[in-house]
Amino acid sequence: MTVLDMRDVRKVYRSGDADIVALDHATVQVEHGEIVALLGPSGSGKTTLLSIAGGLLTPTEGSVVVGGHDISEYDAKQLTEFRRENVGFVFQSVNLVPFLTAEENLLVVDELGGGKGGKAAAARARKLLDELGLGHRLKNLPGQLSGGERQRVAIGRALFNNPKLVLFDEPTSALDTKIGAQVMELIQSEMKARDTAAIIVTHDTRMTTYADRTVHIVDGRLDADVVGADH
Amino acid sequence: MFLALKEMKRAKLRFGLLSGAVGLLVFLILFQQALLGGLVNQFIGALKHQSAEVLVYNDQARKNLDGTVILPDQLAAIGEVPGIASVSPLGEGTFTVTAGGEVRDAVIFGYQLSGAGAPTTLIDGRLPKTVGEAVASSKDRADGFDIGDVVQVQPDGVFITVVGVASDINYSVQPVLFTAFETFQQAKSSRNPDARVVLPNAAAVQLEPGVTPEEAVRRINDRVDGVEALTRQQAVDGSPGVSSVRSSFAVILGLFYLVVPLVTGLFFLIVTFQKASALTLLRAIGARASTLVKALLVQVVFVMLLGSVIAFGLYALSIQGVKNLGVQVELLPVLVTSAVVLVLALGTSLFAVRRVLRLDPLSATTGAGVNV
Repeated sequence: MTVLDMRDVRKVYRSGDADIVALDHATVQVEHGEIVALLGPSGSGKTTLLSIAGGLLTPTEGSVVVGGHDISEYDAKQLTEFRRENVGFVFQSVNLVPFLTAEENLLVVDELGGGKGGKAAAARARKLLDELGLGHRLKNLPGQLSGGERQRVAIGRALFNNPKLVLFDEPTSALDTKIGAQVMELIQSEMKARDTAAIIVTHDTRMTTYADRTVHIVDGRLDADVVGADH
Repeated sequence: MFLALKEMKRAKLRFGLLSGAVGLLVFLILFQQALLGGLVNQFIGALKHQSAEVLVYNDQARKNLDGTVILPDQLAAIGEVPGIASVSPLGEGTFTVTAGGEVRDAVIFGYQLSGAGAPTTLIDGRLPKTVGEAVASSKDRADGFDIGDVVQVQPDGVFITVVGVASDINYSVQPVLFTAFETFQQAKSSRNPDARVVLPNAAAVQLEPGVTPEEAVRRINDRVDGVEALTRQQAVDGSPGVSSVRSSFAVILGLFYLVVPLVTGLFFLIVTFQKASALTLLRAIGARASTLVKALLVQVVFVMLLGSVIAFGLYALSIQGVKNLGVQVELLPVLVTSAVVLVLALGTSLFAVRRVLRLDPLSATTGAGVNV
């Protein structure tokens, strides 16, 4: 089953009198439980594609269907709700709310949806963090966690609402090689364990080994798919 | 609420300091308002707390009770005005008296015992029933103006016995004696034996039922030459010194009313800038802008309420130190002031709200915050 279906998507920015094409007729599908690495140099349009897939940005042209929702024409309010209910995000740098503990950084997802989860939500947050090896860090603030631990909390938050699609934007760029590899292994195992689709944006070719396939992007255009080395 | 409370819990010092600062500023407002009320009462308490709803001055007096006289034919003419139930003379003068064994100044108000002009805030004893009796200002009880004390007007020895005391009836920051108009005349005559007649300073007017003071003032001013009728409140507000004291305080209080919300608004604007990346992240993961705005406003309300509680505590403590000014702890000014500064602070917090509304969730992908 297709979780993400982007067809012929263009994103054009207006700069003065010139049009800047950030994404040029991009078409990509991601299946249930599939991990796709989106590989490309800086300024190639990776983050733009990720942002459109996640409802952070609307396309200039083309259609975007995520988990059966055609979000191409959604307004800002609808996109906010869509992001809260359907997508998980792990960003490059700022990933956690600094005044919330690790546990609360997961629970905030439930709170933003009205806080109906109650004790079940709290139990789920603890279970998720335990699975991510952070059972002893529940009450720690982000400032008290290492870079790798922070990204693991962010992964927990991204998975908290059982999203259909999780989007990772350079999730290891702020980590050293060893910790980065550990985080990628964790991402891979968590996605597979939950049969959740994921797109991992990276410019580091080593990260593609954790993906089922790799999509290259250059100057806003997607190239032919490459199957991941391990699969 | 979740975000607002968690943030305040984790930043107790920051929010505590702001609440303390707001508390100090609100306290200054409350204290100065109380001081203003106390001062004004000391200046014109006697006018404010006497029974005549309308006072009539000479039109040359410029609302100064010390500088007015009402002639007998004017008094009679006022009594002829429709809607006036009765009119009686009201005298006022500052005298040197001996009270409690010491020579001091006191203001004597003379009113017709059967007419208007009696003190309305009697707290002990009774009103005078005959010549030579008086109600004194309660603030000066210990200085020879308590019930049973005899005050002697200098230099010729008119004796006045205090039979009651009333609160907030000082005048020109002096002790006050409300006595019969005849006693006032005797005191005046003793000071100036050559005077053939002692004229009242003003006319104290009682109204017929259904006639408003404003209506009576208009009728008197229309029908009687050479006088200026004033409602009690107009007489109070127009007294020399009162308006200038009030306007001086108004400037100071106005500045404080400006500073409190500005400090609060600036604080929340700075905090919003500081946590812009966290707010952007929350927007990116699906927080509605309204959710973040509500969290901000909850914090504003919390800070202002805590600040008001701190202010009330300081106010109640400090008032004990200035009780000699006739200042009392009153809850209503605290509630009104707190409500006003809260509304103003919510107003200035709109700058922070505007910043929150301008957050672009897309900025989470770049780690940036506010999209200016």
